[in-house]
Amino acid sequence: MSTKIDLQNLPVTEEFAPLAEGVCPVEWALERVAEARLISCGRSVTCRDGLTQVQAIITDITTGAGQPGDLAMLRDVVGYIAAMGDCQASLTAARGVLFSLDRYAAEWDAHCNRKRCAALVCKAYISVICLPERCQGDTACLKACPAGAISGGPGLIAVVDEARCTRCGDCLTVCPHGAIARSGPMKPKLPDAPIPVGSFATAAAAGVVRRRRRAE
Amino acid sequence: MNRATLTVDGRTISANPGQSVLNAALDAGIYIPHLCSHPDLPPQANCKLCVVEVAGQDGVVCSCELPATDGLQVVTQSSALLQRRKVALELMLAGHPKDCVSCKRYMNCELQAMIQYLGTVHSRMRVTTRKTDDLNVDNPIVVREMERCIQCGRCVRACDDLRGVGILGFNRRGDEVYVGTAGDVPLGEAGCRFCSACVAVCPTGALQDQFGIFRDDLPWEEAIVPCSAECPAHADIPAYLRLIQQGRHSEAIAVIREKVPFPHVLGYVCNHRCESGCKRTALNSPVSIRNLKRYAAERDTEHVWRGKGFHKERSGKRVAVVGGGPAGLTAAFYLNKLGHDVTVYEKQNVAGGYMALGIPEFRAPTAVVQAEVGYIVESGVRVRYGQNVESAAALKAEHEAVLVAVGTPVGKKLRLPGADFRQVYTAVDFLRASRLGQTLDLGQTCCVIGGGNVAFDVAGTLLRMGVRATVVCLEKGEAMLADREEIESACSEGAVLFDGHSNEGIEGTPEQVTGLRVHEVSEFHFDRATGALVETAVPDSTRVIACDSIVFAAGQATGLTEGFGLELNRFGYPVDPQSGKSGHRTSLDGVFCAGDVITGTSFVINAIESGRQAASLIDRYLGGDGQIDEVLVERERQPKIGKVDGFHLQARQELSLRPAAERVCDFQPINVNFNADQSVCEASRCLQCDLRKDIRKSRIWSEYAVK
Repeated sequence: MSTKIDLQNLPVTEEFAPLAEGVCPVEWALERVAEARLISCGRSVTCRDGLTQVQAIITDITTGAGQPGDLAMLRDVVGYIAAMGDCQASLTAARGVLFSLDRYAAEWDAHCNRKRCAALVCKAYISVICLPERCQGDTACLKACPAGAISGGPGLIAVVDEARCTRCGDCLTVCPHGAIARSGPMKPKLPDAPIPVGSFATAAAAGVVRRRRRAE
Repeated sequence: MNRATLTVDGRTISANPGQSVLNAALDAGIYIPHLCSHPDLPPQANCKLCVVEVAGQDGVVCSCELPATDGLQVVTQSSALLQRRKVALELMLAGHPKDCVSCKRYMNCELQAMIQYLGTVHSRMRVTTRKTDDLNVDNPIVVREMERCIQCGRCVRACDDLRGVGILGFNRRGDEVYVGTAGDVPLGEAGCRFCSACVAVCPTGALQDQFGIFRDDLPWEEAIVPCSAECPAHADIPAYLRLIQQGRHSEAIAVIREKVPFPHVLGYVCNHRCESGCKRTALNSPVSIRNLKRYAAERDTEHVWRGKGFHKERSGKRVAVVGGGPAGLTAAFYLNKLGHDVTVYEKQNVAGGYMALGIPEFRAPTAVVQAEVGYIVESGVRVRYGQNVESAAALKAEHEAVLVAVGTPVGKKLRLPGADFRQVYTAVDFLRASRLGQTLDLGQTCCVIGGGNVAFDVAGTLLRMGVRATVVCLEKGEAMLADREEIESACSEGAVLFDGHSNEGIEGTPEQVTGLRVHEVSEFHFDRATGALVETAVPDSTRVIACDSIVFAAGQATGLTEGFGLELNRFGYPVDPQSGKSGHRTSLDGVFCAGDVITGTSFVINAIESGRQAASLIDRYLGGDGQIDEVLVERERQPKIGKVDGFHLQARQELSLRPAAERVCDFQPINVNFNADQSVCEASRCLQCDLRKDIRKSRIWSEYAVK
């Protein structure tokens, strides 16, 4: 249902502390904008069209659709909102994005131009893998996967089908051996198909396991 | 308070106390880009396009919210400002469709003009869409294409600040903010008055008038008040409906009298083209304008219009008006006011023409007609009765100008065997005789031939005379030419209808009609070349309707002959040799026409307007300026109309028809007019389309001297 905008109860500006380890500055900026859009005045061009545009651009940057020039355009728009914004919510969000852009410029560049997320947060830039040395053939991950992307069985090393995996992360917490992990584009050697636990080192030596191509 | 003096881009301008820099600059002819600002609305600083720099201050500020104070030095053009404006416009365009050419506001769109001014294109930004665009778009009067909305908030302010309706606001749904009604209910349910102020101020195509609601062949200012646009005399209908609603009946009549000198008669007989234009029809049904006019006329006891309006000095010019019907008397009325010495030559012994002698008493009471004719005579028009003018040329010799407004006083008879029998009459003669109290030999039963309104007027009159009436016409059912209510009224009073029947002949002897021989037709048309009837008869359907008399209601003619001195066409209508058609001018210099003698038998309001035009034309011929427009009542438009719950549902008030058995016994009007409550109720249904005329149009960049 629609609600009337209450201009009186909008949040005030805050200062931004350095981001904790494991927090993606791009994703963090996106969250600030999404939050602001839920409570901002939404009336003026800065607030309505501006924040919508910023959200669209950052969403693209975090999902692999970033384009050359996006960072410059983002700075234009965010700088515009920070200078012209009407409500505290949009000003706070814009300042947050600017803070992230300034302080974590390398991360933004990596997201936009190299499709990498150092914090392994942005799903488009990560893979979920099963570390063959750790896997004990426990099938907890198979049961946890809602997409049915993991193949394997009792006593077999589980293999994640990257094409079917949605990066939901459900499997990450269930493995008692910590064998399921996130990975960037540089992945360790993995079996192509489930093989018996303990056979991975032999198979790798015999050349059965090829190093996968970097997913681009 | 003194005016403030400030400089804008080095130009010194002055501002009214309290005026914004934006408005002061615009008033001085200096353009500052703006979209959310509107000359009639308070500022809101939504669009951020009117940014300026102020000497001694950092950053930029919206000039719509910047008070124009003494000594202020403002810069409106710089590369930084241009950059700001371009980003703002790019952001707006990111969520705006790119189909300019398929938008109905194409080339009439402030956003489009802004694109042109700033040289911005849809390109760099991401295309954004909204899920809330499709909310609440189904509406009969205001088209809401909200994907075109740039959220300037003008409509919200117009609805609230301008109209006091206040049903539009900024709503939120999830992370989207949009313009809508509380709870997203349809406009009608929200209490909308459908004044369309929101449409008038919308700078884009987001809010549009429903296609087809206004005529597109008229100037915009005229078309947006469709009732007045449709009225041949262009009466200021919303103004008088407002006065009726306030109970100011005499002033309401004065407003009507600015355009027509017969408001009361029209309250009875007008064909109310205004109602067919009424915008309210799209909501439920049109305002009952004609009946309200009659209501007000009945209560006009103060005659506030008397003595008002223009009265020019006497010109010493003499004008003869031939025919004292609505066209002739209207022209005479205005020509007299214009200072000319007017004499009306009326063939009959009463004036009023068709209003007095061609329409039955129960549709237009004699007292009403004679009262309004009387006001014209009182104003100084001389009427000479019983004057049969045989030659316009002869009359022209004694007058500086002559107006021929004889109408179509001669009834036509079809060429049927027996059409010359003694008891065969024309509707014109019959109705005239009935109004004059003359008796005709009608017997017990009379057949009326014809299917128009006149035929049913005749039937109703016959029934009131105690004569059984049978109406025979070619058209069947829906195709009949008369108004539905006229047919139903006459039939409920006891008229027998033979629709879809063709006549073969009149039975009887030249001394006594005994019947009408008819047969049924399955289809018919009139030959294009000859005008002859081509029909397909139903086999073995011939029958004789027994009757003692016949009345032809089969059209009328001018009765003019070559001896009248004017060039006539083959139907007997004077022609203007310049155009070759009938018109206000004739083949004789200084002799003019007005009314039915130009158009053929038509409605009273058309004759009145024709009379007005002729008066204006004749005045110019006589050396005047032809100006006949006048204001008898100063207008007070109250723009704050406020919200009314259920306004869209308010039903049209109908007159109560007297029972058929009762009304057929007398010649009193067939229906009873509104009571006071009904009149207020009905008048308040008006959408007041004219309020929109007071909303100024926002000027675009090209209309400013400095841009």
